[in-house]
Amino acid sequence: MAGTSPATTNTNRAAVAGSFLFSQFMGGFTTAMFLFLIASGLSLVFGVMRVINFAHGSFYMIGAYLAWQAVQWLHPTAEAFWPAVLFAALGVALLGAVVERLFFRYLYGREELYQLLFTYALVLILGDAAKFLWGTGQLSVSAPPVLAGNVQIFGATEPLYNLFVMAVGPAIAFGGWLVLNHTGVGRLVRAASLDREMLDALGANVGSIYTGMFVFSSFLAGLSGALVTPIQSIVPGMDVLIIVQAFIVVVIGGMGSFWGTFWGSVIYGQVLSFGILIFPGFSLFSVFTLVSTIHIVRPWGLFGRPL
Amino acid sequence: MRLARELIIKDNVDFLAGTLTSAEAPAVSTVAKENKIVFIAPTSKSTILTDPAHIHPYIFRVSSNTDVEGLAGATLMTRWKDVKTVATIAPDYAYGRDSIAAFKASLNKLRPDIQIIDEQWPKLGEPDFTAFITAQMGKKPDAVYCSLFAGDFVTFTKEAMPRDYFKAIDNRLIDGAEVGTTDEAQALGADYPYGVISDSYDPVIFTGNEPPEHKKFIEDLKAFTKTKYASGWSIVGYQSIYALADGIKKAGDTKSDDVAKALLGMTFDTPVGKRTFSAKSHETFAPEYWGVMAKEAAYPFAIMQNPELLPPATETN
Repeated sequence: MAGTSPATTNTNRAAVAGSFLFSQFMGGFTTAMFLFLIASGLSLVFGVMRVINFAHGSFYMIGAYLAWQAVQWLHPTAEAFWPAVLFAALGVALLGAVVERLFFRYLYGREELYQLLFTYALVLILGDAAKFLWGTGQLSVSAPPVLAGNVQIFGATEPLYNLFVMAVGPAIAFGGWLVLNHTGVGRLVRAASLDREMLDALGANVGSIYTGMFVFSSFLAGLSGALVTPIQSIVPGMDVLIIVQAFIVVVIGGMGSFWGTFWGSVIYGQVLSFGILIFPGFSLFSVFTLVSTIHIVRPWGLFGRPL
Repeated sequence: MRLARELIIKDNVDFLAGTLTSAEAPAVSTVAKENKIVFIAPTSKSTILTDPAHIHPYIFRVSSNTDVEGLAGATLMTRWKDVKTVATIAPDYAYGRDSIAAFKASLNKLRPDIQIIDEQWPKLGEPDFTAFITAQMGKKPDAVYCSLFAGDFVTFTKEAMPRDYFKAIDNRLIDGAEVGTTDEAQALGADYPYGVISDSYDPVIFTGNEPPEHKKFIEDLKAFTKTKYASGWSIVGYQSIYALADGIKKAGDTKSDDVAKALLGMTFDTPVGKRTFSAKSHETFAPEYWGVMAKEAAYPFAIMQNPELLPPATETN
């Protein structure tokens, strides 16, 4: 550095600081998009069916385990990851269909306490089932070879796989919004969320709308669980950890609001990411401060309707 | 804790051995103290378990502790002569905090010129390390001391690897939380950060200088658990039960009070050498095997190269 003029050194320093902040921003955005994938299903079920599904995190965990299982079966195939993701998402969707038809449909319109008790029981049952089937150790799935590398963006190293997830998140948000607001099915779903009885009286099959929504929400949970495996370990307990975070996101954005969940995830990711820089010793401090503040100012969340 | 109470009250057990993390062991230790039952901790490393405020006649530790781990980790760190700045990352609970404090204290004694420039504290079970990794890379440390373990280390590695985190520090990462076990190496397989240094109570697969008792132990273990490669954790359970058995033999009965007295200062054999419970601290100050984790043609996962017992016995107690 002896030969460089002070001016160049300053520009360099600014560039380094800039790329550092950018990579911190991108890190926060990755976190956000994963959370959005998970939380969107949770928010959807609450928005339409008014059911708080605590077992959503368990569906996510089962998705991760199923993806691992499928990769083991397809082992020598280089791109085993993609069929494994599809298998996991469909598998969890099927599980969702069974659970909805056999149990959930008796809970609609009941007191929240019954719903909480039932979904909590489901958390325990699925948690134990996963331990029984896949053991208590940590499992891991490798990133698909095509997305194993990284690229440099503004001096920050970004894994290709994370960029892929960052694209999937908004795509699902936009797709969901499009279906809900511009199709016949979407109109029925919105009608079901507003007045179930009236829609039933008008001759629409509310039961199958509910099943469809629950299966789609389970599909999203399975998909996010499978997609998370290349960057996380699969361990018992991942279900409970994620459901807490997903709830925070849904609460920030407003229960039942699709875009609220999206922006809730983005805010969560960035606050966590930059909170770590400012208070390195207390990684969750900033997030919980944010949630409390939002709850005091707007108890129904940023995009929610006052109850 | 509830389970420990149930074992004592319902099943009428005379001794307890087990628990995994330093979050559980101190709680179970309290139960052991209340019920006057010998409790042997096989894996918990936090010094809080046997520090002057928490020690009682019935607690004994077979595992290493964070002071021993920190000394070994710092010793290895100083072997990289050109390292001037070090960053740390550890889970935010008793073990992680004690582990980093001990490492810093030892490093400061051995090489006061090395600076700690960054400390990251993700929570135990953190599902997303991205922000911690980018924040740490921004500080550009020469090397890293890490106390992440099991699933956390897997998640950390999978997020750190595609960001070239290990490349940026030239693989100079030391992890003192037993990610050198065959269990961890198998979980990560080809995704393991080859070239880092870690530890294990038992490397299981020795690339040389294998103690003969160990060879027999691993053969028996493989036959018993019916696995292709044995676990690096089995040895601490084995040691705990054998230590307890020796204690009972020495005491001549199974009364917890007598066995607790017998264990004080008692030396027992293990497949990786003799261990002694200190009469004062109830610790074995167990050294661990440390080495570079590298590719080995015969195995589909990382293998510890030239396992070295650290720290040497003379430096502890």
